[in-house]
Amino acid sequence: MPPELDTPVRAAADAVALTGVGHTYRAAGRDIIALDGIDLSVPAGGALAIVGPSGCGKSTLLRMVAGFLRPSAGRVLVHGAEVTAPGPDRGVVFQQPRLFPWLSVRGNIAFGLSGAFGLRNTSGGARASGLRGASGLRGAFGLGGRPRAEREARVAELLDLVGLADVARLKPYELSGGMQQRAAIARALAPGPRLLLLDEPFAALDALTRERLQDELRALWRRTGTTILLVTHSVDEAAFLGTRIVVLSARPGRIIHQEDSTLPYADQPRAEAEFTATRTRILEAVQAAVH
Amino acid sequence: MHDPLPFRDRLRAAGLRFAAVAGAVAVWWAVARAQIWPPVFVPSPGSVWHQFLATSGLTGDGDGWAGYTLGEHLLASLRRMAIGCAYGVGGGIVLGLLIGLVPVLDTVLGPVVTFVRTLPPLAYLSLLVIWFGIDESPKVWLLLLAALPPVAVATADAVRAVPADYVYAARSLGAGRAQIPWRIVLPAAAPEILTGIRVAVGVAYTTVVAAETVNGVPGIGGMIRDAQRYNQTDVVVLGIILIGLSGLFFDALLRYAQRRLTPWRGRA
Repeated sequence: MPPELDTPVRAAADAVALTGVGHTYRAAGRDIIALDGIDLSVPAGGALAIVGPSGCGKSTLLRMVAGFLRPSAGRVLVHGAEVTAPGPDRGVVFQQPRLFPWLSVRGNIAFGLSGAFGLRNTSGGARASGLRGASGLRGAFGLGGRPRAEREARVAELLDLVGLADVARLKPYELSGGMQQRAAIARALAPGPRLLLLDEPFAALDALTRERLQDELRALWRRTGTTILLVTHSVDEAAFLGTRIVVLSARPGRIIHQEDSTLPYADQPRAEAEFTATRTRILEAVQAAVH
Repeated sequence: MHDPLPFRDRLRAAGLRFAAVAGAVAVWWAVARAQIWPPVFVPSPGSVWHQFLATSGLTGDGDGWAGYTLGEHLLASLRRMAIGCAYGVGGGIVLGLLIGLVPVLDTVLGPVVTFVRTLPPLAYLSLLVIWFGIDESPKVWLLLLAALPPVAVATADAVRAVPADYVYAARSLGAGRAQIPWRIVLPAAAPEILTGIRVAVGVAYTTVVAAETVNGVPGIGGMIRDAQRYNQTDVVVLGIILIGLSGLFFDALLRYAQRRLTPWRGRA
């Protein structure tokens, strides 16, 4: 393909592309604009952190990318295709772990690998283009329908990845909050999604656990190359994990600040001088957003 | 609340229960002994016990009641309840799922279920006898109709209360729309459905005597009706005690099943 065809190539490299996205809902007989004119993109392999005050519509944005919600205006593209429904190419981690209590930790992680889904997961040649290298996790697409032994190996791999091999047999409610959220991340990764959507995943955890899970998520992101879309109200978290950081204003949510960062690639992002500077810039933007 | 009590506490609870039962029997015995009312109103515990031995065929000095032993009466009733409850619970779960998942069906069927639920079983027994005769079918139908509504209502409510994020999570993990009821909604609603089943079995119990008013022998209800005709109050009381005791047993069984099947109840 000749290099002058610049736009389509860039569009294909974007894991997520939002153009003119808006969301309006009716409450108490009035139309309320939650999101307005959002233009946003995330390059494949990047990590987008969306920060904003409560009620700015950042979760709504994530739910539209996940396919739980249709935008009232604009288009939401994931890997070049319009989002119409949830799918195993987009893993979702909620603020509450939302693990299935009737299944063990192992059963929860294996949920996205069970038989009937296989064909769905392997369909779509587009996803193959997003594969970078043959790292164990990314190469494991479409395990669904595969032999039992292969599925079990995959579950074991994920359990090791999140350090839950010892408690695989336990039920979710027998785990601590941090362990539950680890299990939820492993569950979301199981079908081999190219995009991981996290909706304030660590907000309900204590500060120490939160920082540890941020470290683990960053390591996981670097190891697997999965594109990340993270919604958070923590400025630290955004500066630590976001290769692109977006600040939304209070309702109606509009983008009021956007910057790219290389901090998540650093060995110790929190120790970098740039970390403090980035934090300060985002914080100022968020504070401006509230007023 | 799910942790098993220490052995000593359980022993104490069992002792308390035994003392309460013993106390009640003692009062009963004293009242019967005082002969305030004639035995046809208040039979003594001794005569009920005697009827138990005679009708159960345990001692050999009796051959049951109305041609069947006590065990045969009980078994006939339990069989009817088992069949009626099985159909009622099965139908109730399916109906509840439909009502809970499809808003149109909720509008259409919701009032019908409530209508049936409010009717006393005796009200439609006559109709069932006209339709199905006097053999097993009207009895099973009556028990089915009694057991179905509580399960349907509990299931529909539980289905509506399933967190939307469970469904979203499953869909994001590759589950198709058609798999959601079976893989997510049903297990997520299981604790409340099991409570509905317990209620349904209870309702079936209160209905079984009514179900056996017409041609109910063998059957505990039939036995009670028959004994009433001959003023055999001790047999009536025996039948009542037996229904109550077996009801306690099955409720305990269902509670155990509930603990085993849905241990996350109240914890997730």
